[in-house]
Amino acid sequence: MLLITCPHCGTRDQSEFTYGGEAHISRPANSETMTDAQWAEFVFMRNNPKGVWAERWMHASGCRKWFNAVRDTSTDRFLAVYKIGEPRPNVTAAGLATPSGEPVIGSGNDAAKVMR
Amino acid sequence: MQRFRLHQGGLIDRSRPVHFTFDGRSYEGYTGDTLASALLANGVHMIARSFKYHRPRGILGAGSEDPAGLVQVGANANETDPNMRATEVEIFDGLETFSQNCWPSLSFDIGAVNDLVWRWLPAGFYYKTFMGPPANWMFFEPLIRRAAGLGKAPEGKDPDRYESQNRHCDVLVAGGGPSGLMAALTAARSGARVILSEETPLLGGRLNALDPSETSINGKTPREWVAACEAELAKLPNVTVLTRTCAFGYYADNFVALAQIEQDHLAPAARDAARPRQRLWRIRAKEVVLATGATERPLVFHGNDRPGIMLASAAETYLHRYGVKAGNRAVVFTNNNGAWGSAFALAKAGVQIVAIVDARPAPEEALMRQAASLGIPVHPHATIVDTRGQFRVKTAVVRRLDGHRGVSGEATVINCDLIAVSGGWSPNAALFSQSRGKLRFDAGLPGFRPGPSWQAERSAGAANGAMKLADCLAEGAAAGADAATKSGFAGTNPAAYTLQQPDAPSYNGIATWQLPSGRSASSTRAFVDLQNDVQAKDLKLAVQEGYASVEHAKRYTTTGMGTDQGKTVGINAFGILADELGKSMQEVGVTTYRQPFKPITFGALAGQHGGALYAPRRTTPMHDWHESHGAVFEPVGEWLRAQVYTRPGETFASALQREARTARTSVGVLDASTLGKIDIRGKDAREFLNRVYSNAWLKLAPGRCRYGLMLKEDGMVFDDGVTACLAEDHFHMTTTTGGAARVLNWLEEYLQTEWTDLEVYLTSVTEQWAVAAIGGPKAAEVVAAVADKFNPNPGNFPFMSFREATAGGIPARIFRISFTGELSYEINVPASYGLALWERVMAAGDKYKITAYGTEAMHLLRAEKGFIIVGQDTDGTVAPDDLRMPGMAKTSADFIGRRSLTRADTVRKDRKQLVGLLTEDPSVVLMEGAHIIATAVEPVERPAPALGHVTSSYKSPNLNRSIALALVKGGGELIGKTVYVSRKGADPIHATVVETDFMKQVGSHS
Amino acid sequence: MTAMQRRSPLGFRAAQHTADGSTSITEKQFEGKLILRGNPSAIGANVAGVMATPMPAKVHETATGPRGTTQWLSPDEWLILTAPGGETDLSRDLTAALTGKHHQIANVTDYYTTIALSGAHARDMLMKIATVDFDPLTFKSGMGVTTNLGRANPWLRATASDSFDIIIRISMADYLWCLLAESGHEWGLAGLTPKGAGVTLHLPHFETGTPAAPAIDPTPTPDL
Repeated sequence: MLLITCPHCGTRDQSEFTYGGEAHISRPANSETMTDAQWAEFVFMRNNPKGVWAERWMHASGCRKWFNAVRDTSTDRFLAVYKIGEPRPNVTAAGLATPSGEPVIGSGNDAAKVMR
Repeated sequence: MQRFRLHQGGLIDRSRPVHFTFDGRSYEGYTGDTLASALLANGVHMIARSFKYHRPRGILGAGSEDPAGLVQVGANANETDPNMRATEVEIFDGLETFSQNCWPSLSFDIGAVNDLVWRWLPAGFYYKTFMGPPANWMFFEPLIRRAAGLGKAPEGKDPDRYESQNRHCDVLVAGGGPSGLMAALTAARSGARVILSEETPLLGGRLNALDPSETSINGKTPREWVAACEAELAKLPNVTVLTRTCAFGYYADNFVALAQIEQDHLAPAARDAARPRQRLWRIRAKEVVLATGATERPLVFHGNDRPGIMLASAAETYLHRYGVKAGNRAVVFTNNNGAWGSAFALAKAGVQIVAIVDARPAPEEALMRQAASLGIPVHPHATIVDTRGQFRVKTAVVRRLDGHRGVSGEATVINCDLIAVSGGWSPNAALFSQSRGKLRFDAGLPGFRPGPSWQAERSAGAANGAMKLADCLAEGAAAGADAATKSGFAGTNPAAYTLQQPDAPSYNGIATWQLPSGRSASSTRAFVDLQNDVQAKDLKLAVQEGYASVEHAKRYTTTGMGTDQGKTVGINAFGILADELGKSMQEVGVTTYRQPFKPITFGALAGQHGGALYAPRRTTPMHDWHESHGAVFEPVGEWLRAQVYTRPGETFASALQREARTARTSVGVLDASTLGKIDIRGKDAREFLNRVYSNAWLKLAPGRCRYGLMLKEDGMVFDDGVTACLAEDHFHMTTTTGGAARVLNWLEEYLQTEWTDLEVYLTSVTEQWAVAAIGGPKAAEVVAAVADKFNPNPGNFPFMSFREATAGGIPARIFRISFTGELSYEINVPASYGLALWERVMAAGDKYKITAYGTEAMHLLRAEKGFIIVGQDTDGTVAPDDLRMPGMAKTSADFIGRRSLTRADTVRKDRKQLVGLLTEDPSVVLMEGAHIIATAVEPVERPAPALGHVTSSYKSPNLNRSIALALVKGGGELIGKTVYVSRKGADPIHATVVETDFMKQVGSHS
Repeated sequence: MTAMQRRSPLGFRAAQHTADGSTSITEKQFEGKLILRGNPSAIGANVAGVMATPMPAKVHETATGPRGTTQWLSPDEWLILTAPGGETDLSRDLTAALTGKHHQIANVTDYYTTIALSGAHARDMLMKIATVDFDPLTFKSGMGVTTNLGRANPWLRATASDSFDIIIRISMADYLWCLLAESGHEWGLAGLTPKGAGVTLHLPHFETGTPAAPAIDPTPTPDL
């Protein structure tokens, strides 16, 4: 169970939050001029990188506010949280690249837990 | 008669004898004994059979590391616990324990034939069976399940109570041995909130296994020092000490789970029924100290699995902690200095040490001299090549090592009843590994020890590879100071101590992953995993068959996959693999440690959140009335709704027919309190509604209501409901019962993230209002009687409008909306008056024979009218046009999902569309979910090509025939045509495709 | 016509006391409750004028004055508690004070009820079912929080060092009441079964075994 810091309420248990997927995707204002493919890109396509990315959370059991977070998906570490409307902070993963030193591209399997 | 109990010593209470049974035979022990120590005191070594070959198993360890000394505890079928480690079960008067995995008895076990055919049950036997064709598995599974069992699971409902407990602390110390005590004391003195968890009943750890006359800390015996620590900790309000509490899981963000045995160790009469049997502690720690100690490793040699073969440290623990001699004539077999100390301690207590066998070429001179002075024969650079003894070891056969992975010289046969083995020590790094820290191989141990940390934790003492008491105390104090400082108690200094101990040579172990026997590899039976019966040759076979990764070899051979999680297995297996692969230990690595560290009961994990408290059942203010009027309840999400009200003599089906008929011929009332309700306010509320509903909302006048559809951005129907305009800037939205929370969150999401410029506030008012939906030809009469001075006549109160009124003086909102096609009113009153409203409605309707109707009749009535239920007639792939409802997608403005409605896929002509179905035979009711096909004969092709499926199907009392709604490919074009509904075991049913409003088309001529 | 009798959701439950009498759970019936939404910088002074207390500005803050207690719920949302029956006047006064300002006031008096948990074991009972830290060092008198207690999601406020008011939606009130009673079981609170516990999906058509009858979808049935 992760700890997540809500920008309004402080640090709380993960069980209080719901996840909202990739952040900084705005609803297009000009959808009628978009091609099917462009519209489908907005509706269906999301990134799923291994590493640092921005995502949305909602403090569902608390203030019910949406907010953004920068998280390293390879380590589950939150690097920053910020309110909706604020720009994405310029943060990068610190410390060990991944907990097990496994390749950056790969399954995320942390089987080989030995220091190499 | 405790033949192997020493006359004095040990931490047991000799003034309180305890009587217990094992396999029906009565034994005596003392308070403070474990089942293992008490049985050993009575000379019982063999207590179990192994998992695969049913070989006799004894007691190898003295704690949670013991691999195979598993027993069944308790005779009561509902409470019995299987697979309990005898080394952990505390005895009490009346305790009943049993051997398991053997039949008919422990000494004569039919399953032991497996041991005679062991050559044909190689490693990977199960694995190959599982991976083979399914037929193999189908054939073998029942056999395997019967043969390779452990204990018996309890039957019936667990009668015991369990609880979970959340705690936050500054410093959590896992392990109450010398390092853990020093860490806890240091952190506690700083004022930090400290939790200390100790797996066993006693603080002290390895100190409890030391000769009390040889070691002193702060001028006290080890036991006195532990007692002083305990007393100091108990006095501090910021400290919680939990014994019998195992830290079994280290999760993200320093979330550590502890399992506490609260009453299992007490005699049933002494248990407090109000308190739980076991308690789960869910700890959030700012900083963690892992002082989990180390585990001695067995040695891997031919015949190493007989009862009577025990870890040297365990023999010492039984001696000093329990006052028990594990044998009278012992061989000590080691590859390090540590076990020499064990040998001398055993000798001092009167155990005859008949040999010390050391695999090292040149054991230290000092040790050799001490052995000589005690008259102990020493076999340096030697190994045990064989043992004998059916149920208990009787002899050991010793030969010299030749230095080239073989043996040489004459065999010496030594009679003994105990072989104390030591293959060195492994730090208990399971929690560290679970915390995602990296292990590193330390050739000096040799073993894996904690490397860099990933979370806010540090290891101390033996868990960190420290093998001397002085180092353990120092590391513990330093770790406690570091943890306290980092958790906000700056300047914490390590607690001081003084230690007096005889000079002991350092531990100086060597790596001997498998010892030679002089036999052929195939006839050598050297066990690595005593629970799962994995032998060294199995691991070699795995490598030969291509399993080069430690993770794969583990799964192939099931090494370390038993209930003991291979605590005595790990490094021996990795070492054998490394040798076989020709790689270094560092390269081979270790398998991943998983939570839990040891088996935890499901009861402890569930805690108080089981049974009646498993999940909330939300009830409406009218619930009690429903319950007392024959309601059958239906869970709808978390809600309980009355599904139907059965009167005396009625079945579910006949009650349903009566309710649905009365609601059209006279008057019926539905409890609609569960509908989601959202209060919407702000100058942009109307614009907001126009964006979130697919139909048009800008022109809805105050006092009027409108039905709306909500889509997701993919254009598919998401929810529906009626929203009323209370004022220009004030609306009352309703949603489906199940969608209430989902819709509110979704609307908030758009307001918070997309349309931050809109001046709109939303607040849920779902349960503020209790709702009675009154419908039928006599509905107006009932409403007129319920509401005060209110004219509900349609001429005065048009369809899809709303009025403020009072009912019995209580403010009410009345909506003229209908989900049945009948004249209907929904009366909303504040929830605390909900039951009163309901009773008032029933009283007013009495002369019209009003019926309360449940969700089942509501579903039927709306289906007669062709109204949809989102989630039943739609499934997330249905767009507004697919419902063939005109006017539900406006063109005047953008709304959520609009652009998707013109996507190529959404405008396909052959999309599934909602239509009605009338079976040729009106008495046949279609099965919901049934497939619709194009041919009168069931096609041979599989899967059969389907046109769609039946979404709703009922026997309609008002139309006197069956009706159904269905999603059918190009359904709109098929009106009037015949389709066929597939069913099992009979020919497809003929049905005609019709429009969805059955009342309109069938009602007139029924 | 029958008079409209008012009933509270936990009216059928007797107050619970631990064996040592130190700790109790009781229902505070019909406490007036309003939800106020607005931009604090725009409405703060007006609301403070009515409530005669400053507006709580951030998480955990509450303010109690002559008209009642205001609890911070989110940056633009407050719970206002007042004496039973006081919500109508308070709502009217707040509405008057906020005329012309974008805001929302919703009367939720009947939506929620108040469970008062008080006594020496109160914090221990909360800690069994809450992930928030209820240690007295951390969660002090006067603080409020919105969090989960078991599967319920109430608003909660420490009214004194060992006393808490828990505001819970009425449909979940009995579940939470029973969960609290269970948490106090080791100190002598009675084991209670919540209303509706144990009811599972009824499948009449499967039970009667009529092959052609419509099956009820075993997943929770959505409806209007």
